[in-house]
Amino acid sequence: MDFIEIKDVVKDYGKHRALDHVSMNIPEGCIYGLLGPNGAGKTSLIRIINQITKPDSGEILLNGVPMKPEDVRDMGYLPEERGLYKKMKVADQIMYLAQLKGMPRKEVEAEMKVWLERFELTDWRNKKIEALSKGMAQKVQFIATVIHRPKLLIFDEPFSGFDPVNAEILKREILRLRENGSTIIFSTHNMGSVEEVCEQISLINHSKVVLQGDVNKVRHHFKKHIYAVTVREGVLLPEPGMFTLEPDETHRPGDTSTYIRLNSGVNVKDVIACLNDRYELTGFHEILPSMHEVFIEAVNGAEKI
Amino acid sequence: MNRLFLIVRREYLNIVARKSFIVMTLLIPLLSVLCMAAPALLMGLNDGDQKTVVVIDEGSGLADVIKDTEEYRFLRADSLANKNPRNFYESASDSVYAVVVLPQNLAQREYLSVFSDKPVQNSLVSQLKSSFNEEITNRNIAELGIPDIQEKVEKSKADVRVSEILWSDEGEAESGSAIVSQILGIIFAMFAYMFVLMYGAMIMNGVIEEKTNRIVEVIVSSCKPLELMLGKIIGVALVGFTQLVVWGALMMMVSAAFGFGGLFMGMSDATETINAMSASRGEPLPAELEDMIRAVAGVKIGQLLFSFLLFGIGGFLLYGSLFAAFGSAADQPSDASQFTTPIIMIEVFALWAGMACIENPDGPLAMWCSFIPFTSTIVMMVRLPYGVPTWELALSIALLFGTALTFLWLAGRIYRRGILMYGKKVSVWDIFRWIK
Repeated sequence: MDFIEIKDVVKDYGKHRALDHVSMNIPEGCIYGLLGPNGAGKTSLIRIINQITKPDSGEILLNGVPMKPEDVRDMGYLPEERGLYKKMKVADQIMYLAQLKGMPRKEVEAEMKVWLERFELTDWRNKKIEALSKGMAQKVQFIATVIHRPKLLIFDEPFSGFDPVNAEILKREILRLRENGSTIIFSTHNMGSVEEVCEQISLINHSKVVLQGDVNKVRHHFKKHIYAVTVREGVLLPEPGMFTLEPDETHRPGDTSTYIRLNSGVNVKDVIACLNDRYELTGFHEILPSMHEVFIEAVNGAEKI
Repeated sequence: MNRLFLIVRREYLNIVARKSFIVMTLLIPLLSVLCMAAPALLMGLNDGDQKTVVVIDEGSGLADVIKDTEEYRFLRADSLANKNPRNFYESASDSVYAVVVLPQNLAQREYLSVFSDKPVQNSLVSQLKSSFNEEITNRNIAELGIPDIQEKVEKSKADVRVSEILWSDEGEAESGSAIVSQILGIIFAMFAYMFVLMYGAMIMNGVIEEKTNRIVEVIVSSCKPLELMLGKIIGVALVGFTQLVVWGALMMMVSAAFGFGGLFMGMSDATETINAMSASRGEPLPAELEDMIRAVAGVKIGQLLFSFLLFGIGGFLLYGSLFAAFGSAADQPSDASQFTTPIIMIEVFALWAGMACIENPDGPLAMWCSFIPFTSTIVMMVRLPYGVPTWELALSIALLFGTALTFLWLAGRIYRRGILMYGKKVSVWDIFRWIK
């Protein structure tokens, strides 16, 4: 039984169908990527999980039981459009949001101290939000999202607006939260971060799930039988009947090896044997498509596995 | 802790802790006293300079009757000797404000003329009138030749005071005064009007602020949208209540300083207060003040305040929910004006109806407007001090609260859709669709 089971959810806004029979299973303790272009329906789904809106049909199970209103206490939500009360002080703001989630005042105090120190915000606790830089305000909002130790965390584009240093800190914290047992839904269209942190994904396009599963399996599914080859001397030439050379622009940045594409039906073993005969082979490994490529191909091809 | 309580507390503290709120709460009573005093002060003002008025007596012998004042200095000139007053005025220096010509037979004709090249001020005309009226009247009386006539006239002057007696249900007669009822009614109606517009706008701006801040999405992932809306309305209502309590306390302090504080708290009755006040002054109070105290004591302040509170709560829920709903449909305050204009128009109509009811607090307009929830909050304020039949009061309150709760429910439906809607120009039709 998965932690969250989304079953056949449909949501219409007027004539527009925002979610069209969407289903997904999110295992406990997993970082689950919710991918898709803008306007695909990600936010609609997140709002339904958060119980901000209700689905027109379908249901969401939490640990096998339909979600109840009080389940929101075990959730933390960081929306893409960040926002806090500008006139409120940092500590008051965190206290208010945590208490709304049902956390007792004393516990918030203790926990807040730890988090403010971790993000180097201790000196700012009595400053109003409007006095903070954008990055600092984002950190405050992150703290407010996670302080009540929710079992389910929903991050909508968490890295947007963070500089690389702070994005790294944030990534570390997200991984730490996972280690502490939280399940994380990670909505983004930044595919680099998906490869780094997500274990499973669902790709939504035009209100439908078009691709779903384990990140590595998804990448294998979309592989194009491209291999990176390095030889000690000489120039690698194409081998008609066996492989062709890939143009340079498909290469990963900084990769000096030559990319070859195997013809269909050709065995990898035979290729290695052939290359071994002609060159002094020093490197041979498979190039899996990046999530970025998978994303573009899936969005354009709308394929489901 | 209860979520609604948390939201109410945040809304309340957020406003009450603002410097602007504290300043306004203390400034408004001062400003309203100034506003009331301003016309009187302004009337007392003159151009600063004493104006010169030339008095030409053509033989009436009454030129000395008019005395110099702070405003006017009167210069006596001899007869015009066939000269036109205009020529005289033009040949004189610029400092002459007007020329008053007293005809020879002024006492008989009771007629005189003032010449100037611009309209003369009322104060000059009234000074001339009163001075000559008194003098000529006295002369006429003296001419009657009755001994001690002046004293007899003084003694026979009458000054009738009207005291109103109300028959109350308890069968006792109490002293009341229409003028006190009127003033109380106007004050209460103005309060009701001001509070709805001022605090309604505060609710609406709060909703829009949360929406543009985008914090609303975080909040409604922790609580129900209805809770947030209700919390806002209640929080702002408590702010208004706080302000009223502060003003009430200030009034109490001022009245205590003048010696009739106990009257408002119902701790002493009119006679006690009058005795206490005259004792502290060491002389009897003027009759007018005594009348006023008796009239104020005749008004059942406690009962009035309770009704005021009930109508205040009902009206606040009704208008507050409208403002919250419309705020949720707007992305910025200027977008909301298309929705708020009708509310303001209804309010202005209610205020107008309320003022009209002062003249006839039991007429058909008063009656109907007391039952329509949108106007009853103001019109009833005007009528309450005069006394309203219990059944009318009960029906009005029931209708008000019934409507307020219905609108609260409707507003909740609009609100939960509106707060998550961005970048779309929302029309009235959209709002109707959201209710479904």
